Amino acid sequence: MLVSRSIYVVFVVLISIWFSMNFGASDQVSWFSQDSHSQRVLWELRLPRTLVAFLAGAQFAVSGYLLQRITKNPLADPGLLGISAGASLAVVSLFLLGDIFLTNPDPYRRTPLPLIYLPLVALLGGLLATAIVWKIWTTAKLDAIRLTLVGVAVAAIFSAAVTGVLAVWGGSYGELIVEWMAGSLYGRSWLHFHALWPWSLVLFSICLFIHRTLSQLQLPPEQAAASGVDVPFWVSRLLALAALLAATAVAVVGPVAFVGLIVPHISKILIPSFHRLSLWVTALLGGWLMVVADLIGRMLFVPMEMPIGIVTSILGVPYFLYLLRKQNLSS
Amino acid sequence: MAIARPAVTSRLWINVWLCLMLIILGAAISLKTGYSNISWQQIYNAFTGEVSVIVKISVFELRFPRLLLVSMCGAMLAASGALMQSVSRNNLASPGLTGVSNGAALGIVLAVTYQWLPLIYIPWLGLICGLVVGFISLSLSGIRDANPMKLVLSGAAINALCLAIIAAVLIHARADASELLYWLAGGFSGRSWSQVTMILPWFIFTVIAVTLCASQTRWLQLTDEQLSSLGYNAGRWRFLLTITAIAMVAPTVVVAGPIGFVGLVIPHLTSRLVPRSSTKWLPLCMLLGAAMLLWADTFCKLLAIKQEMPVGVVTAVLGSPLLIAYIISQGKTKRAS
Repeated sequence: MLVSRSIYVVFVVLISIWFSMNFGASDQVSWFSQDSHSQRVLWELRLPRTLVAFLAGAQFAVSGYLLQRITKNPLADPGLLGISAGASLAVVSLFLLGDIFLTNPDPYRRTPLPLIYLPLVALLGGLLATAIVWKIWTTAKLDAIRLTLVGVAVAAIFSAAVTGVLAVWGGSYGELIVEWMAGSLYGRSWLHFHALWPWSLVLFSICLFIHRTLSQLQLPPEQAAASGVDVPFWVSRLLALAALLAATAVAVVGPVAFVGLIVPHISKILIPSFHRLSLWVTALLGGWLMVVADLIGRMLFVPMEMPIGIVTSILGVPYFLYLLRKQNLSS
Repeated sequence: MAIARPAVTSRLWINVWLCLMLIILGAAISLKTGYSNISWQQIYNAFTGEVSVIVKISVFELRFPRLLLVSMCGAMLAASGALMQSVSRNNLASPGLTGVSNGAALGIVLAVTYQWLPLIYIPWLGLICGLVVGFISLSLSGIRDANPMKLVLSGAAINALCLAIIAAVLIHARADASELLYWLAGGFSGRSWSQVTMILPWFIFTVIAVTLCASQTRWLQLTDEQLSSLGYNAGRWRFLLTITAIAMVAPTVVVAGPIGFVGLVIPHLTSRLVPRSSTKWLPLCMLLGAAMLLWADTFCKLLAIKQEMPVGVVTAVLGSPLLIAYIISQGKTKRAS
């Protein structure tokens, strides 16, 4: 049953990618015509954009999945725990300060920093934020809801810092960064895809080997330790993995909110038991949600585009509030 | 008891005196710091006698109105947070965390970018949006069985939604982002008398409301049952006071943008000085709020590199660690009990 459901998910994903390829601001596109316009729109604009959306969505979703499993907290998400904000601070600082201090002092001769470095910088910020939250979590032994609250507060510090950097050094890049901060797929090309896929490949191949440890960490800490798991070691390593997944995606598409929160809950409906496949179904659904949200953002106000992060926020906030209501806080 | 009473009163006056000293000292340094270098002698002369035009303009047209504006906004934010906390009996209620500030900001961004309304009505639109958002997040977390943690989380979600819609509006209208971005961070750079005259009626409203409420907040610490047994209509009071608290925030958002954490932190600091049930608690909150924002704003002016750091950034960086410390301490008391 689980396998057949997973196959359905694969089909749904393929259909959404098909839709994403066929719909867009330009409606005079045909797969079979040889004119350069169609070819360019399909292969140079829509395909890389869809692929970037899919990979980033899968990374956000698996990051949220790991966070929810490790912290045993259904309200965990890279955005809520401050990882996205940390990564954003690193990226925005590098983008603005690097532009001012590292490159050519003559503003007309500046070359932007290569895109490939952005994920590297973002993951430093993401790891820093995760380390802070992890340190507070383990030393104060917080319960699930307080952990999320601490994450929100840490995220507030990093977001304030982003705002400060932006207000002081933003200058003419203001609009560009507002769009990136909202989470955007506009103009994502093969360049962005090449900046992202090596990270996806490495991080997801690590995910192949973590199922056993993850299932042992589902036990209470004492039992997990008794069954031979070094709990603090694995918790910190898996948190770092979740941070890397989210931060590298943030570097390319911006801090898209709530994907990491919603998708693990949807995949739990499809695969209720803790199964090896659930991580991969989560990844597929995350990619699916991003592709669909991007499609909505593109099609809603043609030719204007809504950044994808706005679409996911509008979808995600009501769901988050619903989860919060359901949550029994007294425990 | 007869001995304890004067001791408490004298401690109160020491606290009031300390707050006033903080404000006066902050005001003096705030007048001194700024873009052009002006000596103490020149500032003194500006108030008493003849000085050059440049000094006169920078003292009376730039620094003095800004100083007034910052203190009024600080006092209003702190009073609003204090009122929200006692009305909802929730120690984490504050204009920023409930989403009221960002809700008001959303209304203002809509009004400014699409130019629906003449400028004078903008505070009212901010107020209405703040009211809607505030009541949504307060009712989601439950006004009656207030759970502080739930309020912050639902407030965070609603804040995220407001910011997403603001970003959508900015992108949709192709607005000049850099100026609005600066405003959204919360700052007083370049504010002058026109903003002071705009906020003054609201400040007077705040002072009147606080004088009237100061004796009432003590009653609002009680539960609804206790209140109704005393002959109060608790629901009506809470509703009215929540509207009052939100009405204190909206105008500060218009002039300075959403400044977070003042309304959260100040009531907690003040309750270290006088107990929350005291009638002096609310007025002291206002004084301390004015002092804190004044110092934060002066700090921003001192640190100005290329452009001033928005004051909202400073209050967030100072306030968030206090919020974390509060969350941790709450967790400890829960486990101990």
